[in-house]
Amino acid sequence: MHPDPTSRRAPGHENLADELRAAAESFDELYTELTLLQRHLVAARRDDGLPEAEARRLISRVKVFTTAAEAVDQAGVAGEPSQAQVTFKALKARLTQGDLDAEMLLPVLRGLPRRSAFPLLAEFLQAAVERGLALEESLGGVTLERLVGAPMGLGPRRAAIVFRRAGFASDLSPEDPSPAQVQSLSAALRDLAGPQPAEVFGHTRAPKAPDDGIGAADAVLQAWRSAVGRVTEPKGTAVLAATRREGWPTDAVPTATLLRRGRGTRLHPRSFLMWAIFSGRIGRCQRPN
Amino acid sequence: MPEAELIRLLRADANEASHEARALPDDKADDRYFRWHILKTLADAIQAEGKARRFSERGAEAWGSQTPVSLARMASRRVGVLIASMPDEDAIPLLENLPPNSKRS
Repeated sequence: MHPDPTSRRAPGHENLADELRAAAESFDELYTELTLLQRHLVAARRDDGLPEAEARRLISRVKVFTTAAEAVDQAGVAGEPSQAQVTFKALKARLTQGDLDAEMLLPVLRGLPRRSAFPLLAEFLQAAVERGLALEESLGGVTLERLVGAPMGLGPRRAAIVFRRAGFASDLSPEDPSPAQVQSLSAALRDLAGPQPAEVFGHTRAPKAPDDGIGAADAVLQAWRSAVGRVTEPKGTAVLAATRREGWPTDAVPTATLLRRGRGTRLHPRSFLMWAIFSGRIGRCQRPN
Repeated sequence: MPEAELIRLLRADANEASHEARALPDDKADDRYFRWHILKTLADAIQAEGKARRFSERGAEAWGSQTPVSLARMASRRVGVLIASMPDEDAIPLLENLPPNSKRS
C-alpha cells in the first residue's frame, strides 16, 4: 500500500492540528446544541398547545446560552475580568440558582476543559448539598459518572480517577452518595481542576525542545517514530527498539543527520531508490526503474 | 555531488514522475505516483537536514522562523515516511543498523 503523500504535515503542525480538531469538535457540539434549541424554539412558537412547563423549560435552556453570551460580550467591552472568568460566573449563576438541572449541565460540561468544568460541577454538587436535596433528585436521569467524565478529553476511565481521589470504595460513584461523600467529591473535583502531573490524567505536552537542538535528540527520534507508524506493526516495533538503543547522539541535528544517511544493505525493486539513498549511492542512480 | 544539485535532480525526477502519472493514467500510474512521493519526500529530507546543519553552525539571528531543531524534526519525519513506505523486509534490516556502533537489544 502506498502511503498518502498528502497526509504529511510540516513539523510543529501536529499539535496545532490536534488543537484545531478538538476546538472544531467542541464547537460543532455546541453548534448542534444551539441549532436544535433554535428548532425547538421555532416549533414552540408555532405550537399553541405547548404545555407551559415545557415552554418554561425551553426558555430556561435558552437562557443558559444567552446569559453566557452576554457575559462574554460584556467582558470583551470592559476587558476585565477574563472571558473565562465571566463565562464561568455566568454558567455558575445559571446552573446553580433556580432549579438544578443536570441534563442542562451535561452539554455545558462537554464543551469545557477540565479546569473550568470541574469547579462548575463542584459548585453544582455543593448547591445540591446546601439545599438538602438527595443527589438522585438533583441529577434526574443523569449519573455522576457521566457528569464527571463529560468534560473535554475525559471519559469513564478518567472519571474513575476522580472517584478514587474522592475516596470512594470503588471506581464508580455510590448509587446514593451521602452529603459527606458529595462534599468529598466536590473537593476532589476542585483539587483535580488545576494542573496535574502526567501520571494522574495521562498525556501532557512535552516540554519544548530548545531551538538550537542541543540535547534534543529525543524530539527528533519521537518525530521519526511517529512518522513510521504504529508500534504494533513490525516496522513500528523495530523503530521503537532502535530509539531505545544506546549510541544515539544527544543533539537534534546530528541525530537527524544519522537518520537521513542511515545504513542500508539490502535491495528490493520497489525500495531501490531508498536503498540507494541509505547506502549513499544516490549519485549513481538518479532514475530508478 | 553537491547537495543542492542532488536536491534539484530529485525534484526534477519527482516532477517528471508526477507529470507522467497525470499524462499517462495507465496501470503504471500508481507506481509513478509512488515514485513522485518517494523522490519528493527524499528531497525534502535532504534539504531539511542540510539546512539544519547549516543553521546550527550559524547564530540564532540567521534562523528566521525555522530553527535547527524544527528542521531536524522535519528531516526525521520525512525519513520516517520513507521507512513507512518500504516493505518490512527491507526496512527492518536498515533499522537494525541504527544507531551505528550500538549494542543490539
